[in-house]
Amino acid sequence: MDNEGEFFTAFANIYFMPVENLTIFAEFWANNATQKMGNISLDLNQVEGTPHNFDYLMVEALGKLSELDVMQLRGRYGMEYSFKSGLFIKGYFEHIQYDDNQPYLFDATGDLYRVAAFAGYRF
Amino acid sequence: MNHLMKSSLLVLLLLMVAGPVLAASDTKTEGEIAVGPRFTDVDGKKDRVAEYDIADDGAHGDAGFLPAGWAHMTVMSKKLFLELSAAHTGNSKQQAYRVYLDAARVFKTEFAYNRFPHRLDHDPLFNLDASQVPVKVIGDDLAPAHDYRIAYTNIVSRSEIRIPEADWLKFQFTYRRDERDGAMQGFHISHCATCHVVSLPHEVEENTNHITGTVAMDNGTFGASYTIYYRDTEQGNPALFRTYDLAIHPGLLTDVFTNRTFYDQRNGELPVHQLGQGSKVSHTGKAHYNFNDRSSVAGAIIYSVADSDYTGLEMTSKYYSGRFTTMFQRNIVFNARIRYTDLENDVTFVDLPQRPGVAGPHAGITYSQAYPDFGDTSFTRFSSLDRNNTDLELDLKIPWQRHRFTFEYAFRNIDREYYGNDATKKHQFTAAFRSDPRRSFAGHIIYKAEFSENPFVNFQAAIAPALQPFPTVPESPFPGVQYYEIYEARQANLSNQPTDIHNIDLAGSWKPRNDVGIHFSYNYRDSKNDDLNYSDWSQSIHHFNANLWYVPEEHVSLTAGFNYSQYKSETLFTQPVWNG
Repeated sequence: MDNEGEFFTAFANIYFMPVENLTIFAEFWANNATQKMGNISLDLNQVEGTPHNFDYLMVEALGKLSELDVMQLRGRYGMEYSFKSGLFIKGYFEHIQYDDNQPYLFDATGDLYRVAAFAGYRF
Repeated sequence: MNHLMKSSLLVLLLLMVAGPVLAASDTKTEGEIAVGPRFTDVDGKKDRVAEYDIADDGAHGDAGFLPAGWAHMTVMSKKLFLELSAAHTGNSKQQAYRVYLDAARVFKTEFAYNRFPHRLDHDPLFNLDASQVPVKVIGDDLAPAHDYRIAYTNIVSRSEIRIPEADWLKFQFTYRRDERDGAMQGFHISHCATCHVVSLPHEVEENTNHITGTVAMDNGTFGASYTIYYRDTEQGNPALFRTYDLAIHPGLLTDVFTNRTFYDQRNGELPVHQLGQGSKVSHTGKAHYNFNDRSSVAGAIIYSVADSDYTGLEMTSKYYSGRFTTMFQRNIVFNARIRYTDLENDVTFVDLPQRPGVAGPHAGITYSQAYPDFGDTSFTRFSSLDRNNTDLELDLKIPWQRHRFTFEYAFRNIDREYYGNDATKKHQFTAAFRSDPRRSFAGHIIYKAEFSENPFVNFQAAIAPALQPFPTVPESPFPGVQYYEIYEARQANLSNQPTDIHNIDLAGSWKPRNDVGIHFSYNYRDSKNDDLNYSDWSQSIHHFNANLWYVPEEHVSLTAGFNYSQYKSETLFTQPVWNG
């Protein structure tokens, strides 16, 4: 039997000042993980006797119990403007997406949406 | 003390510390403060997408709309440096504060408070209901709508004092407290008359205190320190109390299995799902001596004792280490390190009751009386953790034209007092080349090989032969092969500890211009154990990483990264099959 897993993470951030005192930003990252058991097999010619109501064919499906496939994406996009007096305003939109691509017992898929706006002062 | 009161005291502490510093005439102050509304909405399951986030939790149920803010301030004068920071999400379950003060390097202190939620999964037990009547497996979730989560609080206070007239001496004190409160899903299982799995909420009130005190001296030639550490974990609700099902024959529903069980419904409520509670004390002594600017020697001794409040059992560890470093001509450096570890875990006698049968073929006799070659249910527990480890490490660093070659040899001997026949011996060889880090293209390549004799093995772990490939006549669990005979007949030794490891590590940084830089790394590890009697175990791991930063002009910056890992393990898979 083999047990195999793959994990992947990527991120990118960009900050841009089109005019003085204004910053536009975008932050993004992606995370994916898969894991599975495989190559579980049974040679029925080697089996001595069969217990009552036991189904040997189901042995091949045992690996499905531990099969995982998850993708998570996160993005935050916003801007900040600073005034000469030291006041500033900042706002962003954030989205986090969690995809359960091999649900077992329950589907853990969910999406989070967030909008925020701040006023502040630098001294 | 509730969390609102704690937050208020923290703000008051911040103001008391900041006041005198701000009043000084040569003070420079800078910082920022911001507040504003934050609206959050969640579709689908919250447990993973908002695992450590309050999400749309308001002060009273789902609100989604909360005020949030942060503040940061730095105050500097000739003799004082003060840094304050605070962040609050509008929900007391997610907030953070930090204060750092340095008073002329005579007194330094840092205080931090951090609180955040942790959402836990809820297992609905849907997969356990087997339908073969009357023998079946059933699962009961007694709180199917319960939202399991833990609120985690961490408080840290670190202080250091130096005396100006004796700057070779310093005192340090650290206090840390971890609190976990909320609820987790507790499970308990009854056997016989169905396998019955039950889950219900277990309210958690766990507090762990860590206290550390250090006194250290260093006059440039000789240095020494002593540290005492104490840790204590307490549970406000250590266990659930449940009554097990009646242990009777699952098909015939007769009371014939009493001598095969230690307890059931007749013993009333018993503790289940018990959470850990105990303490640890450790003493650490360190010293070093510089013979000259080329050679030095250092040593350390650690003695620690950890115990369980429930059993009174103790685990004692003693650790001794020494290091010698010297530099030869042409800046060639030689290091030698030796370590010895002695772990002792209390031996304990596990006294288990022997109940006689109340009905059926074993009425009036215990299991040991029914099967004399089984022996006694009670036993002495000797721990596999008891061991003496000896480590020896030698390395040679050879500079060459601002690059560096390194050659290392490490040896470890693990002598387990109560497990296995022979000690585990490991030999590790390492060769490395590191290029000049000041070049526009720099990096390293490291190759490591490790060979082990007698790695840790689970003896007789699997593959019982077919002891009885036919049903007992008449159909009954009393004659015929018993479970303990199946376990004792297992043949395969299994392990996930390798005999051979080969590891290669490549990394590099490239900075072709002042506005762009790339860093990358690749690691490959191949492990195997081909000394097992029925199978081989192997594992391969690939890990690749790359990061980029690019600033094409003053007003634009870009950072990006990529990380990929892949592993594959191969081992023997066995599925024991019996019906009885």
